[in-house]
Amino acid sequence: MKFYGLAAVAACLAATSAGAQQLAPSPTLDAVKARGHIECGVHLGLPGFSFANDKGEWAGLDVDYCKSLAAAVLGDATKVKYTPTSVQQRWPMLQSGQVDLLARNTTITFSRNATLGVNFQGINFYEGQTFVVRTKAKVAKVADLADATICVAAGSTEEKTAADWFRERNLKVTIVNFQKNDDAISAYDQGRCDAYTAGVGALAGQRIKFKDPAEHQILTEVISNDPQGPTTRWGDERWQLVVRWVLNAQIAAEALGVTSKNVDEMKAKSTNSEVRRLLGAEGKFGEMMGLSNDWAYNIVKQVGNYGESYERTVGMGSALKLKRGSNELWTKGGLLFTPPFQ
Amino acid sequence: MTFLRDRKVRDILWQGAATVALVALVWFFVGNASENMVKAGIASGFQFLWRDSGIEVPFNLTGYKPSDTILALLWTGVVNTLLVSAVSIAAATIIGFSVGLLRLSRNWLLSTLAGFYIEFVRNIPLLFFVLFWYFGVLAALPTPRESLNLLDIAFLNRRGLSIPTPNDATGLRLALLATIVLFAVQWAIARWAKARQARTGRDFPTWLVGLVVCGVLPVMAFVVAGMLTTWDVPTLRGFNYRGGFVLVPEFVALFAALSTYTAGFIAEVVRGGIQSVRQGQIDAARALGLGQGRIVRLVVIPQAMPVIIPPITSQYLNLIKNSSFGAAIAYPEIVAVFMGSALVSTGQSIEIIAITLAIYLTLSLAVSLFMNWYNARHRLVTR
Amino acid sequence: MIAAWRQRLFATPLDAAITLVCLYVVWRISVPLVHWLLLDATWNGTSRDDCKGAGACWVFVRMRFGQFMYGQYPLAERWRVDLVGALWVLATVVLSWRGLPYRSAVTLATAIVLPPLGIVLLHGGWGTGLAVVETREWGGLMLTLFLTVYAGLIAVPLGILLALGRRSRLPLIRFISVVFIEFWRGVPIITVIFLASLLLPLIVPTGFDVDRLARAVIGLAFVIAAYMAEAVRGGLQALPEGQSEAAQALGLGYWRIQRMIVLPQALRIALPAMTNEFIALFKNTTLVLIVSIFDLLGIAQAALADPAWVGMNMEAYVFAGAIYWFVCFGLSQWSRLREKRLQVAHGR
Repeated sequence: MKFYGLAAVAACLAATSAGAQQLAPSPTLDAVKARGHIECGVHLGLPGFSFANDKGEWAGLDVDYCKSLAAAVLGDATKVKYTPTSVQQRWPMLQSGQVDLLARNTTITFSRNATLGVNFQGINFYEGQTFVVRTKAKVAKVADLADATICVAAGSTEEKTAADWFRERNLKVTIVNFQKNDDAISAYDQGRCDAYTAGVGALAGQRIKFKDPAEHQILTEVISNDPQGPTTRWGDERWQLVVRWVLNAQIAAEALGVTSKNVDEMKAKSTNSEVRRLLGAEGKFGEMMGLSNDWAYNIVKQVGNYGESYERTVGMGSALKLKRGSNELWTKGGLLFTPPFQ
Repeated sequence: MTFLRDRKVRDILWQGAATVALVALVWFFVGNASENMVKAGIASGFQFLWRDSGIEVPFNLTGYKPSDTILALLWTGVVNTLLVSAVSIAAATIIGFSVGLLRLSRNWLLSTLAGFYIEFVRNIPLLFFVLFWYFGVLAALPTPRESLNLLDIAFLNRRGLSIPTPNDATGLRLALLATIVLFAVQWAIARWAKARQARTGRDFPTWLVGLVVCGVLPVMAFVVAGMLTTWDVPTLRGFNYRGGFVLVPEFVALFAALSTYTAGFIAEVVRGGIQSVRQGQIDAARALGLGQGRIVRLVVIPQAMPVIIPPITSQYLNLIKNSSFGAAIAYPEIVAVFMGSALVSTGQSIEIIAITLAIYLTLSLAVSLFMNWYNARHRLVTR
Repeated sequence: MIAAWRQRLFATPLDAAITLVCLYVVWRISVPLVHWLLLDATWNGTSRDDCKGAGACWVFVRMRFGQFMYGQYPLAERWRVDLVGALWVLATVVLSWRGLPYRSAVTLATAIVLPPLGIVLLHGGWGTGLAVVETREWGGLMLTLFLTVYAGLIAVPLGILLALGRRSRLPLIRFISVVFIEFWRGVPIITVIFLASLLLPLIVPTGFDVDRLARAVIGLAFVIAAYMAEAVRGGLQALPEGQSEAAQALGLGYWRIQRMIVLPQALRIALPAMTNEFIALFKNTTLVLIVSIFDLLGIAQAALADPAWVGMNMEAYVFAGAIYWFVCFGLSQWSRLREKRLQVAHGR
């Protein structure tokens, strides 16, 4: 007993004398560093967000977030391992610590936050729910779907939103809920349903899974706003801090005009002190979180800022061709926002 | 250490060790679980059962609405599981017995084909069957606008089979009551005829009378009752047929998959059971001048039954458990609605999995007990 | 010869009619099937566009063959899978040779060495100098076989112990065995796999992570052990009481009686039933796909989700289904053959 007490005191002394400021313990961050990679829980396969090609290489907006986190924490964007999680598995996987975080196109809701022991660390995609229908069904707006049969993934926010939307307007629809998105899609494709509902972003990627994509149309009307972002479990505030500010750094880099191409130049020459703080040329922002000071530099250098990532995965540079819309910076009429790096 | 050689002491030691190990293990797991859950901030307890579910169930017989509680949702799932199991058990038994008998047919081609069916079905995972029937059935059915019109009252399309429902069921209930009475009458007649045959040796055309009493009369009762009631007939409105009751394709596909799959196993059991009846018995029956049908009905089946019933029981149990495959094709049975939708919306995995396991165990136990009782009774009759 | 066939097919007018109807049905089913499977099928090419014929597009299976077999297992390391497979086949062949010297000792040694060796080879790392291939990269047929073999390796001994426990003198041991067996037999495998994958991480201490694949193996093994126990119990019950009584009279202890007298005979009787459970295990491994482990069926479904190969459902399912069918059919035929041989050997 005595020995442990002494050792603890000694360790405390050593810690305070070595670092200028004492960091709160972070078991997750320590585990990540010891392990040498991040365990990222992603969607089973959603083109544009997280999708593995036939060589098993993952790509997408959510995957880019995981890579940014690895770049910030470990200095290497490739040090991520992806665990595909189904709708049912995602919460237990996160709660039991099998993944360090979820970056899987999961909507932030009150009841999830309150009862599941999970925290949402910001928003990396504003999703809006809509429907895909057969072109020949001649549906112009969502209300035309009265009396229709709608396929949806069970347990998703879309299931509830759609049910509520039609009930509110006293329209009767039949909702068939499948355990996996892919099952719902192929059932819709086979003609089991008149419509399939999901987010605009998800649909843009999923429509290529239809046998004949030209036969289908995505409605322009959107019935909800579903903010999505990285999710962590309760506890370990410093890890939550890291997860939150990695996302903020991606957005801030775009707002400040830092791209993967000009990041070296900006770091060396920029006179904007927020840029200098972000990239570690001024202040010790990385160390305050227990990371190296070039954490955000690594993100931008290896993965790019939010805008670059968006264009490459879901935007005009990708097969999905999604406009920025709500996912544009607040300065340009969108909703993306980051607190200042001060 | 000599006392260790004493059998009684050793018995007690063994059992004591086993108990201690078991209790320690359970204690360890429960302790970890509660600690982990408190730490992770996961809600626990069974209060969630009384929360509003908000989950849609496209196929239910319980009148469930999304504004009902999760408990009501669970009950809907249980009813759907029981429904598909009961119907599939009946169909699998009929198909299984037929295929098993065909397997023993004198016609080489017929018995070979039955053999092919059995070997095909038994060696493929059930999941393939479920997916095959579901997507196969969907692809084969017409779209709602091109629905198969069955006499203007029922319509078959990719959304399922729409059938009319009665607005007022009183007449039909009376018809059902009449049918039950008629069956009881037939049972009495059969008893009387048997007793008379045993007494006087005179034969009575029980089957012919039965056909009238149990077949023609009930049908007439239902037809009359049906004509007197008003019906809610499905009509095409917008996308789909509205009104009446819709038998969804998920149900049909799961039913078809479960019954054809289990039939393969039942057929094998039936074949084995019948082959276990000694040839001498059949020869003797033939020598007595009994016809082929009577030999099967009076000599072969009664002797094969005790051999057949125990393995068939386990097939029935398997079928009930296999109905959980419905989750793969969105048939709203227990696993899909409760361990799927309800688990995702509440996140209370431990409670939900425990309840699901308890329900299946109860079902299995109930079926085992019933079949044991039936088997014991049957054995007494055949001696 | 002809007379014999006439007797088999056209014995009576009714028989003749049945035969003709059957022939017609067979003809109607098999002609389109053969056309789709073989005659109109496309075999060569590299993409979906090469499949212009009305038949199956086997190009899809050819292009994806590696994945169907090995999942995402790295290309450069696939020889390790082949090696492990070869070792298992070799061991099975050598051990089933009756003339093998020291057969029981060799069997025991193989049973102790081969399973861990297989895992080490497949996984790599642990100081072997082999690159680590994590279980999440395993998939396809290799994963299906892995699940079957390793769940079976746990299930057989556990099942034997449970069967002995169920017939034990000690009421408590009997009670525990009965509860264990009836519990796992009473619940669907889907729920068990859920149980293993969702609950296991919650009931073990924090920081002690059980591999995802290992969880599935444990879940499957428990269920199959319960069924195995019932199969073995059948064998035990078929054995005359006198056997163990005689052994007892000779002064043998409980375990020696079981090992030397009872089990060798009981297992031989129970072998067909045990093979059936093994086949059931093989078929039930398909259920792991619900917890995102990509076995043969899971990999087939994942391949279908690839936009480049949309609409290949039939090809994927027929190919995967055929593999399942051949393995299961082979196993059941082997067991039937053994059964017959044993019957001959016992002069029945």
